[in-house]
Amino acid sequence: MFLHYLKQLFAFDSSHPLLFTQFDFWAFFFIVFAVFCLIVGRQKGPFTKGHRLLRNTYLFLVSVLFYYKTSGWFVLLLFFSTLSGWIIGILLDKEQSESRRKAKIWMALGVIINLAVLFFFKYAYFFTDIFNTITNSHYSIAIKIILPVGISFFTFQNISYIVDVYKRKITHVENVLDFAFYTTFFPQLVAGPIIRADQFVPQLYKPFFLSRRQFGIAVFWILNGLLKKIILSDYLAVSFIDRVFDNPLLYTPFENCAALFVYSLQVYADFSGYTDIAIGVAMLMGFYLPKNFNSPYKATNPAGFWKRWHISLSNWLKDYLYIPLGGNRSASWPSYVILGGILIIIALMAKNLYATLVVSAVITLLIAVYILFPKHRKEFNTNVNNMDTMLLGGLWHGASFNFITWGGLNGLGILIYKWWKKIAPAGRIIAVTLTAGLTWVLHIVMPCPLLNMLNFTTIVIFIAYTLLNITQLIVQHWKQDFNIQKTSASIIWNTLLTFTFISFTRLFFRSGSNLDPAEANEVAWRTASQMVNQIGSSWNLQQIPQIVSHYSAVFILFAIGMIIHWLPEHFKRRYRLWFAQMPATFLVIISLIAIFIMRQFVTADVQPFIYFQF
Amino acid sequence: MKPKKILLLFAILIALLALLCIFFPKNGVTIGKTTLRMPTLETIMHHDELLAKAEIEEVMDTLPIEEAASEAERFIMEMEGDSTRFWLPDDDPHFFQPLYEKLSSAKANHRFVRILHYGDSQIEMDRISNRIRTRLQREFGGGGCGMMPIAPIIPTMTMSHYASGEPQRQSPFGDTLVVRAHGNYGPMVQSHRLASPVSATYTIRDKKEHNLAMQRVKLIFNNRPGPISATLKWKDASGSWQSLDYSENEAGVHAMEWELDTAVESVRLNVNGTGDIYGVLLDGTPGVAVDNIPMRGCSGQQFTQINRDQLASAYALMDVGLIIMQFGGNSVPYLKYQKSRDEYCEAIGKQIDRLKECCPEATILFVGPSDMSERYNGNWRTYPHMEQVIESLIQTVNAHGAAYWSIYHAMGGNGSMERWYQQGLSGVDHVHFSQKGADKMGDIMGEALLKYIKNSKL
Repeated sequence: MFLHYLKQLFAFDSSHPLLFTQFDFWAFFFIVFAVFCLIVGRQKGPFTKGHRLLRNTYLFLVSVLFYYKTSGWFVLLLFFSTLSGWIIGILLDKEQSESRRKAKIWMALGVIINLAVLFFFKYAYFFTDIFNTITNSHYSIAIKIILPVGISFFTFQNISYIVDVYKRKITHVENVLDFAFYTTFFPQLVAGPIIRADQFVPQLYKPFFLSRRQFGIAVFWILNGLLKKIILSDYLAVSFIDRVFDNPLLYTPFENCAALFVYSLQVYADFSGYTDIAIGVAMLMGFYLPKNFNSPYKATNPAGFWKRWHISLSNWLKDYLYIPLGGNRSASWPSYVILGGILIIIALMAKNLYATLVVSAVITLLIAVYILFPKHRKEFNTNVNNMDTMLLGGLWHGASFNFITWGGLNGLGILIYKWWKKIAPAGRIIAVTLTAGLTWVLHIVMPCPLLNMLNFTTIVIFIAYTLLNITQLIVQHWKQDFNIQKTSASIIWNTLLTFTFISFTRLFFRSGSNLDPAEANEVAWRTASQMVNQIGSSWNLQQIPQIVSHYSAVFILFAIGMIIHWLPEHFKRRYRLWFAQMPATFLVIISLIAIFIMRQFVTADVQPFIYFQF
Repeated sequence: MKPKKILLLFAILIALLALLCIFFPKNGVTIGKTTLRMPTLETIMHHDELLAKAEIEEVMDTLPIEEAASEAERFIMEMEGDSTRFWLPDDDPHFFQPLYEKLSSAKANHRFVRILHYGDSQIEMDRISNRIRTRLQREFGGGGCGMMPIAPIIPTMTMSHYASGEPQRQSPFGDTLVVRAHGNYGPMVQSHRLASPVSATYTIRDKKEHNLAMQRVKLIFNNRPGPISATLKWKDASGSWQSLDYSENEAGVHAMEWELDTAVESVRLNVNGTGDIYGVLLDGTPGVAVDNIPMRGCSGQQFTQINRDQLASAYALMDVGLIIMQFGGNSVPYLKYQKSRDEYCEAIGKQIDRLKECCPEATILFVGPSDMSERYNGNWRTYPHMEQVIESLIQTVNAHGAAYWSIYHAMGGNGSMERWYQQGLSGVDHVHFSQKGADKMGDIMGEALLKYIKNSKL
């Protein structure tokens, strides 16, 4: 039985990829780590090139095996991507001193190769669909394209390496095996974080070192990640979220709305849980991966959220997209082409007079602002670059218009926040009142679920903002230096508002996830519009206690998850250190208990259906 | 910290886990309502074998075909081992003959023969019905997308529907907002009471699908004493608006009908007066019309709650050829014991009898539940009593003179829901089909039905 299992463990089986949450991965890692001990344990004296190559080559081979287990022969694509990146890095670096222009060509070639790989595997169906819709044609892709796991991560990693070498932030990696290890390091290969060459490459040349406390921290991250992934993410998904997103029309408006909020926690637990485990596993082998999440739902505005969420991607987009486009200084022609192109494609695809009119109006308005307000051109350009970054960042997450919409909404949120910061309190009051009034009139004139939702949201914002301002005026009467913006009430309101905004943008994110690329656009839009339809319909408030009681486990977990998420950072750091410094025996026992608890969630019965008919 | 020490701790943890797996009771430890479980070592290490066990063996056996008296009998014998077979009362090979007669002559006789497809949430949004409709209309002619309520209840993928006026919905099922109306529900098992003028707009979603266009509109309603009037508006071939009014003063179940010169993509119906609207038939050319009537959360026991005479009067205005009852999924989890199965089947028998009584000319087909899974020890498994439920249903349905078709068998039998889920054909709940799955099932059902109808002729 044992030998058979080992054989299975190292053979490719598409239905059993190595996942951090399954025993197979830990059995695999145990064997990998045992050999790693032999390699590292033999290293006595100074850390020589031989030692380094032996360790890095071993980890590279293990990573290849890990990727093969996950993606089969797509491992050849990983080889190609790695090898091309390494060769171009060398050629580019050699040209640096002789011809900057030639170096630029090599850099461009490297970027194009990686983007071409990404576009072919990830966006072929997406662009075919756009072409077919616009031209009323029915072209299809002759071969079935399967998306290789982690392609978005390793191509971006390669691009960052090539650009950094070009910018002389780093020099090229001499040895192909070292470089291959950097691009394929298995803990982060599948779901990030995106590691940058300047952060990781120096670690390649350092010997193994792990302090007792770091060991404890590594165990903490692994358990923390597993608990997040299995209890918060997987349980919430199977018991509630997935079924609502599968068939939104089967669920009440409250359930649809709750699914969005619970999904916000679930997607965070899923993604950050995976990253936590990756950080812990890498740390056990003496490597340090960057922090990818910093309690994102503590953010008090959309811009702050993006500094805390998927930090490695946000930084990547800032350094390799936003700044090259012109950043906050100027704009380049691609800035306008990207924004204009996306808007025109949307208008053409919608094939709807209203959509065409709206897009035309937006483009005309943008051109008018650009021409009529030359003094604000710098600000205008910054906003265009910001929007481009968010739209393309959205597209990076998945090949469907839902992701572009999601990115666009986040971009819009950031722009509104930036504008909000600049205007005076009186202007803010007028803006909130006008918006609430406008949505109220619109929802009366054109009653539809989307406008019902918008009307409700703007009215709540109007009431809250009015209350905050009245409080400011009253308290200011006695205490002149009083600033409501610095009070807990204001911080809580801003945090909740940001969380709600992010959760609603996720409507488009989740609807477009886990879909067959060939039909992603259609299915994603249908799900999103059905959810809007449900949430914007009339609510039966009497059902809510029944629903909450039926899904009590889900709502309790959600509440616990959010409370832990919102705990102060210094408190979290303290209990992390307390855990890390516990005797090793305790760590083993706690791990055992944690695994036992997690197993109970894996085997827990799924909530049966309740029918609260429309 | 030395890597060897880390490895040792890792090994200790794995050893402890292995011991826990070995010594933990296989059936778990129950504390109150919760059962604590740990996997066995076999479960962890032999997942390929588990998978193999879960694989469904498709039943491909065919029974020997004996000499048969007619082609219809021969066909029935051929189909006996097929997963898409029908179970017919007394194995009557000509069971669908009356339906075949109606459908095959509908076009020539300028009739709109209706197929009423009642079902639970599996058919919401016109799922499954739309594929049956397409298949049958291709064969026997006809168009349009069938019966719709006057006010939208749940969106459908076929028709975009808006209404103003907020008529009051009445139904024997639904949440606390739905009014119970003492049997006054009509053929859609729900009606809308007029309180103020109602304006409903119906527009087909897929304009490329010309077969959905409407050429005959029929309003079925139960008038209370007092006048009720209706106006249909549509754009003619030249693009100008046309309208036609009707009114009715007499109480009781009536219909108003509009025949248009050309098929149109959109119509607007304005209704004013006092009465209960049962439904609006949106048909195309003569032939077969298929109505999608979803009843969320229902197990098919609501027909006896409809006023018998009103239902019979409404059916008489509709030319019903076939009534499909697709239920059972909502009851399966609760039918663990023979007693509960007997009770459910008895209730279903009564529903069939009631429908036959109200619509004696119609053929009745009961479509049983799909394969459904529950989570057990971390894995999905078919409800253990699934086959017993189906067996009981087949006996009851046939005994009451209706045919039975099994989604469960068509899917592949025990464990097939998990396989459908893996292929993206069902939802994560392992109960409902995904859109793709519903399309596939609609095609299978439509094809099987057509085959039986065509092979039933004398």
